[in-house]
Amino acid sequence: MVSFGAEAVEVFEGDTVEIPVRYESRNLTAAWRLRVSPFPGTAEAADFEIPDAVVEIPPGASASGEVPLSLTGRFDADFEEGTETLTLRFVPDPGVNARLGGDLAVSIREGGALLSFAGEPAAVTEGAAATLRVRYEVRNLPAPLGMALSPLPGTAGEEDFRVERLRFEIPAGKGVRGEVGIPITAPPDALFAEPAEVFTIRFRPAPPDGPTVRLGPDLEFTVREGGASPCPGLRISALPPSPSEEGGGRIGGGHLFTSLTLVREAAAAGTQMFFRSPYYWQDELAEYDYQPFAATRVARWRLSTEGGVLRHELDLEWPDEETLMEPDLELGFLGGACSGTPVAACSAAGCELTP
Amino acid sequence: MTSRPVLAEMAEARATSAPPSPRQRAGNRRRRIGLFLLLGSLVGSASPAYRFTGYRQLPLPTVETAVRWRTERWGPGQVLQWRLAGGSAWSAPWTDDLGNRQQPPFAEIGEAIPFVSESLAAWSELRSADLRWRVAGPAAGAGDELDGANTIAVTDAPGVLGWASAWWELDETGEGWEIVECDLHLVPAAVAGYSPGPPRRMTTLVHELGHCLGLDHASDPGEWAGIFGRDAGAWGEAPKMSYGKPLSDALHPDDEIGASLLRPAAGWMRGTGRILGQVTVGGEPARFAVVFGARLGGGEAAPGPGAFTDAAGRFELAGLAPGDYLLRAGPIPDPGTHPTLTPAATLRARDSLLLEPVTVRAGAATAGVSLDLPPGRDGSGFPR
Repeated sequence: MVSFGAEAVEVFEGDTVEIPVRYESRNLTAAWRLRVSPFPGTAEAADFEIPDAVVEIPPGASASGEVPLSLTGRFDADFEEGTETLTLRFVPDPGVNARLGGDLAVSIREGGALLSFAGEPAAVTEGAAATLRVRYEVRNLPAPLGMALSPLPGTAGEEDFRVERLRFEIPAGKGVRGEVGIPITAPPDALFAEPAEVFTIRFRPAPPDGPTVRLGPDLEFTVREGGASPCPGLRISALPPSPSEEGGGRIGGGHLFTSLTLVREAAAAGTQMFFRSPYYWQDELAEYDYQPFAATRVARWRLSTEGGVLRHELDLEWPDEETLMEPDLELGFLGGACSGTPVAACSAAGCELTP
Repeated sequence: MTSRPVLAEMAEARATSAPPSPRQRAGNRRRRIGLFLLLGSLVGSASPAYRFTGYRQLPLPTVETAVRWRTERWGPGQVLQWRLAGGSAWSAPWTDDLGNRQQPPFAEIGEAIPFVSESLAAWSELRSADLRWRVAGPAAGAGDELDGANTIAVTDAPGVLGWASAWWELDETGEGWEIVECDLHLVPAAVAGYSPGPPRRMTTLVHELGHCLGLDHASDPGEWAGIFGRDAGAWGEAPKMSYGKPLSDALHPDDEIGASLLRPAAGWMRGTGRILGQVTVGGEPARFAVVFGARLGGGEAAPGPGAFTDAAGRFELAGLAPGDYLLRAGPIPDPGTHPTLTPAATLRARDSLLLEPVTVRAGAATAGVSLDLPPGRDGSGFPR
């Protein structure tokens, strides 16, 4: 009597299952060699492997026991096929005078792992850090799997961001879900009116001989303008001076406008901002002028406080047509924790900090 | 007791190029006499400067030393009487700067009374100040005499819109001065340019009345004098006591606080606070610079008062409602509007904002606020 030790077995892709084959024998003078044949169901031949499809029943006067039959689920590139099935059956052999047991149903479950980027927020602000979240779904990994990332510069150059860890590991296991956090930083620069810049993060494919991993699509990561820091505890960001949306309605003939944001932490207490330029002589008042007027005016000045951090928002205008001859704005900083008098300069081309 | 008329002329007539009239020269000469005596009264004062009548003398008068009305003439709770002088000038044709003959502003002097009343009301409506005055009717004569009558007259003069002659007398100590009478003059253009209302106000008259209260020209963040006929953004539209051209008939907080400090309503001072500090330029005192406080309301800076620094760079912003204030400082941006301060003032420095709100509490002084203005103020467009 030869039979499978179970009616059904289950194996993950990437796993090997030992199927017990039971026998009872009497007066065998020589070993029986009995072949097992797979009958594919939804599983195809490529989905599994039976290294040795022949079980051998040892000779002897009277014996019973089990011999193993190995079946391995193979990884494939299809992660949506679901559990696949096949049937194992003993192949009758005229030379083997044995009663054969019934078929064995084999289920092959999806194995490998799925990786994707966890999505929003996929942005980092200059001077700050963000976490890139890699989401994994381990269906079956017999051992931890090392993976890697490839950052691909776009409008953000290599100097604009740093992926702090390019390699990470997915844990071994079955049916495991989780995330891996990858720190991404964007170093501050002297420019503080840049448009948002982007780069791309891509999973680097696993070695071809390793477990199959489905890799999610690339992720576009944004580097947001974080302003510049003229002094410790102080950050400035701005819009380049541009024609006001108000047009020339109120002022007449059009005028320039810009807005500044100054974020002041406690370390910058006592800091002043001064208007280094532009100033201009108002020639229509020549008789009375002894020094130049400020060419810009503070149209609005807003302040909010959160957790001891002050956020100044200033709207500046060039109110007179003749002040448009001086479109470049220079703001200086002193006091507080400032070292020297750094200058933040803004023109239509952008804004840059000069230590 | 000696009487000294003190002149505070030229409302918004900053563009004048006319030489001072004999009256103006006399006023200036007499004022210097007043200056000498006033100076004696202020020696040793540690109070920073504000901008009350007399700032054309140095050191600047302060909240405490400002020249106020003699109590016997206009005491607390009393009503000051005004009379319209000049008779037919209120209803006479006049000639504008272009030589064009213009129709009389009023058919007869009585028609002017509502306009004068509502101009007076610009100040007397202040709840924070004890300002009660009214028009008592026409007066005989041309005004401008120390005769016990406060008058408003129509007087033509080139290059100006109006002026105020405030008569001072020494106080009982013989060291300080007190206002005993004020005579105002408006040129026909200033009278004809009244607002049809409501309110029916004469902007120049409102300005000159401020002088009679004891206010001199406002310190200036630059925007007011430099931008005619426009609001000045965060600092609001021009105060009536500035050289700017106001866009509305409303007083600016700078006007309101200045007047209230001179004649505070009962209990008002107790509910206010002060900011005291110093402005420097490169570490040296910024002489007669201007400091503006913008009160934070709803997270946004709203117009507030300004003050000059004194010769030591010290300043005082008084009469402030409790709250947080943002400060701006700079040199006198338009020295032509403050000609007496200019020779001694620190110019050529850059405007600066303090990125630190200053908290004001009722009945308290927040002291030790400092701003340092970097030297230099290079301008383009019309260098000299």
